[in-house]
Amino acid sequence: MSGKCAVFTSCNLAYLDRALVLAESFKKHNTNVDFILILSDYVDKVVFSNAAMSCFDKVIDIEDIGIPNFQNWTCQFNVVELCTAVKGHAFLHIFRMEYERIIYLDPDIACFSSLDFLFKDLLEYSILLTPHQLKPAETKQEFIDNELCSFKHGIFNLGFLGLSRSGEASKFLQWWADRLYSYCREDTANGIFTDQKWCDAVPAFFDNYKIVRHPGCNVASWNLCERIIAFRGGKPVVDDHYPLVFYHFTKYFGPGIEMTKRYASSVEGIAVWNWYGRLIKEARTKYSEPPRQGKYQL
Amino acid sequence: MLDNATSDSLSAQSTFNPEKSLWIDLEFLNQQVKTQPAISDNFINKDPLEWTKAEQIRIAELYINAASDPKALLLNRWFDAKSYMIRRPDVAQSDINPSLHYFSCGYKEEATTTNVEPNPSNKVLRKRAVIDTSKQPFSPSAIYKDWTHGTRKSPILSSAAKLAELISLQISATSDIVISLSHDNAYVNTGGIQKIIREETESCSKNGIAYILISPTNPIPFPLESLSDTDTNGATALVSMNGQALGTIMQSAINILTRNLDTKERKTYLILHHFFGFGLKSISTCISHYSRIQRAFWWIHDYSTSCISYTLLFNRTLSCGSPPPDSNQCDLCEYGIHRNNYLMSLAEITRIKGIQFVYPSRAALEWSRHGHRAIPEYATEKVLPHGRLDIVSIKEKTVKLPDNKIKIGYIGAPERHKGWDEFCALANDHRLTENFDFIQIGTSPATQHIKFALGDGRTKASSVETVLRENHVDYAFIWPLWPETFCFVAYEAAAASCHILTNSDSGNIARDIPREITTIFDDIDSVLWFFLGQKQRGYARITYADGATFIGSNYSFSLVCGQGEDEK
Repeated sequence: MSGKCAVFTSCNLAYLDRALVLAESFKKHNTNVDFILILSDYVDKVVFSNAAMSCFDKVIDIEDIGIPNFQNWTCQFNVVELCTAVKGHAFLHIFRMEYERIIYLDPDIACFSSLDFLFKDLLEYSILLTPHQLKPAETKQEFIDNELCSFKHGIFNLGFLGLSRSGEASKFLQWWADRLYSYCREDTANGIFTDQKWCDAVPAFFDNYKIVRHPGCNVASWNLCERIIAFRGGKPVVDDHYPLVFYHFTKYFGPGIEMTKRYASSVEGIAVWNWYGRLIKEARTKYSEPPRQGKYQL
Repeated sequence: MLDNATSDSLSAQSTFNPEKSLWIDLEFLNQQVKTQPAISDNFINKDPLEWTKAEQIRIAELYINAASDPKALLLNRWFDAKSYMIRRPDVAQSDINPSLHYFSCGYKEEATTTNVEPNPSNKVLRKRAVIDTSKQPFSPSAIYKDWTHGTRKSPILSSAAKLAELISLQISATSDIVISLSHDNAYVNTGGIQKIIREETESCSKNGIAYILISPTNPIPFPLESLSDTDTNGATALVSMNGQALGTIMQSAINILTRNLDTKERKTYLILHHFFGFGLKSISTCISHYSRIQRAFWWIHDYSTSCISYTLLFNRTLSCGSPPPDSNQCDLCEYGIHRNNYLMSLAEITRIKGIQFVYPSRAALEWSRHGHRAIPEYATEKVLPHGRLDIVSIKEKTVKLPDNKIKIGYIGAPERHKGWDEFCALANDHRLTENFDFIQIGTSPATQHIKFALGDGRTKASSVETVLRENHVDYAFIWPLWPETFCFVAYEAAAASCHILTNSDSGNIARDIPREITTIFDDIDSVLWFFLGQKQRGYARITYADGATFIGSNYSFSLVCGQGEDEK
């Protein structure tokens, strides 16, 4: 592949366990791609010198990514807003670090196979997006739980975003980072939802984007009704022959399990969910004492 | 609500008798056949049990067309017309067939019926099982504590050397001995392996061979190495000779016992039945010190040579096929995390010079070879069944309903991997209550909702065969979720003139029990369909083995004499 590639995630220390699971699962299937953690919290040298943290190739404090008027700016957000508001500037910062193709993944994602084909797509396209759903809802329940929810919070799930160094991606980033700087709010009444709802406008505002329709990407409770997870040859697959690429374990310790139980049509789907819980618990044992957190009074 | 046109159309299609809960509306199907000359009407006059797959699919298509939605067929089997009419008085007052109403428009209006919830669905039960696993994560240590109720038995220990002396005093210096290792004390516990060991003991004694059984004092369904956070150093083992307990020694001292029994004059045979509850290192050391083993056999009673999930059930739920231990599938399984280390430890034992791997059925051999396992490719493997069925003739009987009830038996421990959940789901289905009797045969009743008969096999009166005959059981429901290596109860049930109901993945059962007395289903839904079909027809024709006998093998003696078919 030409040019350096990177994957990054953004969170505070409360989500360090999830970020560790993501980084480890990503590295297992993608050895030649750097994994960067953008941290909205104390970057404690002792914590990050632990061997378990070696899956993070770089840990970057949001203070260092070039956000103007940084201290005052951070005061306006809650935790979700802050960790998503930094994403535009984080992309810009990582592009400045000589990476050519960059994929963002939410910390509550885990990878099950290589993302190489997505990096290949970025040789051709400037912007990659994954929709929450790929098919219309078939029942009223699915419509209310999933489709309507996407209309409210955004058609595309910004747990995944791929950008390549190009004029179109640069135009997109300029616009998106600018909007996030001022309006990255959970304010669905006014048509805004963090960094996500903005991207509904991508097909209208920009060219050379690709809507990734691979059903193994960004599998989550909101699209389990349309995707069946099974095993073939010891590997998890979606709809019989697509490899499960990455799964988004959204609201794991909240309503996520209820929605997963409601929509998972196979025991393998539930097993994937349970597996993540086990890994989170294991990840927590990797830092001997909880790192000091709350730098941004979140 | 139904529009008038649809309402008229449905009324015309069938007449509904509210006394009969609808399953398949044969009258409606007849009409369809008459109006569609392309369909042969031969099959509609046939017994539904004799419908071919193609005919079943055709019927399904007719139903789907009538109900306009593919989901209808699936739901139809769970539909309770009576409940639906209570909830929908408008439907009850009309001449509309409630089943067709529900499947053509009612479900879209979100009308619910009390029995639409598909209770007997394998998928639902299995999903629930996996969710349960997440609430109480599987951990060998937790199960160990559960099995031992938090405390381990701490018996008075004997010196291994003294115990060897004691044994030597009781047998002559030239007496041959069998050293047998198994997961529990076969002389006090019941089960297939235990039965084999008891019969081995008897046949060895008769032939002047001393049978020494070594079993862990605290049996658990794992090797000790998987108990990472539990102190296993003090693990002990019970030593018995010819069925009599002699004393308890440290597991780490097993090699001292065996070495002290080893003399130039005698032949020693090693039979490894199971190593769960042992430390693999203890077994490995015990065997490596043995220089003069005449023959060594390793019985493959289950798939513990592939995984500590000895049934090969992924998360205790689905048959996994034993993929490579570094596969994603193992990564996602609660057992998978132990597998790499476990297989490496096992490999030490499988390398014993001259050891033969013995399978109780060809099905077991094929399943074992199919997946990733610790047994090396060059190993000598042989098939030696635990017994065979001697059948005089196959007969058929007709049970007429509703004057008689069809009796369905579940035999053995009420375990999920043996199909207990599926049996309960059938037993609890109210559509079967009137015409079918469900009975559990085992050591103790598992639930007050299902009839129970004692059949622990300890006496002739409580043997499975006797209890099945006394209770006039027509069908033995033998539904393991895993491929059984050799299912004694299937043979015993066949010998008791029962017809066997099993699934296509049941290993030795589906493969070896004669097809004439076995019905093999793809899933549990089909069993329900099968019973409801009998109810609809008003009779069941059941084939069974008349005058059948189950003839067991003299296992150890057979092995020592070199019987069994070599595979390599």
